[in-house]
Amino acid sequence: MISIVAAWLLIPFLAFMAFFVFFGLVNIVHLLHYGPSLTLATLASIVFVGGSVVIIGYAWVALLGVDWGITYPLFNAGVLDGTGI
Amino acid sequence: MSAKRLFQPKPGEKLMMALHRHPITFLKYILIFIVLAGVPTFALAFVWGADGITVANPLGRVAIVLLGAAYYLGIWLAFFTQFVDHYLDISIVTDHRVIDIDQKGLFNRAVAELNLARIQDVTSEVKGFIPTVFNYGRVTIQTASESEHFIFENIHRPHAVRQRILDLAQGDRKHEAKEMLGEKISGVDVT
Repeated sequence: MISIVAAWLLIPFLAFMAFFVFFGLVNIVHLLHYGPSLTLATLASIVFVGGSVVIIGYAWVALLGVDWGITYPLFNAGVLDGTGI
Repeated sequence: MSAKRLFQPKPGEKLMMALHRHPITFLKYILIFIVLAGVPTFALAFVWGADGITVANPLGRVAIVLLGAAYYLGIWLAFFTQFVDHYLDISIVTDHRVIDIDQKGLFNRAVAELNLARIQDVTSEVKGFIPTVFNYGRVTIQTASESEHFIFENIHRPHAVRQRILDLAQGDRKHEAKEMLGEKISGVDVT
């Protein structure tokens, strides 16, 4: 039986979040700095941040009951060596 | 006009036009975003059937939620990046020059400038069914130099824009000729 701690799944997700925040901020800075209309640029930035917060909020709520310290079975290795299912 | 914050006007220079890509050209990105946003729902319904999603392994549920969140954040970021690229492409026409600002992706921004008096030829083109219905297309500005030309893609009312640029170029040439004549007259020694 191969098992992993649930919190390990957060590592690739946090790496992705770092990428997301970096490129999101670059976009917002570009928009506010070079946008012909500051009002529209601000509005678009608020919509982007709002949408991102909604998506992260949904994920947060869906994972509220998870105990991140508990070890969960990833898959049953017995299937591979023929000792069990 | 709001485009004034994008360039530094010379003394006496007036902003005549700020040309953006037609908003209808952004519609395809909205449609792509909607389709991509719907894909996981259909895929999960297809895999697990119409009875609903049941994942026995709690780790599987966590993984699905995190993957789903990353997927939606990814397409949301791609959509926003496309909007920024679309919105920051702008061409400015003043009574003396044309400034073309081209945003190519996140880290490539090109700004080119051309004096109206140097314009040799301006052509406009509306090609295809949708561009004809919504009246948008391409305007190409040719200068005396063979290699130097400006292309404004997907702008609204290209034929009217072409005519306006030609009129402004003619006006600018007259203005320059007057200035040169004035300089020559003031330079004549009358003693």
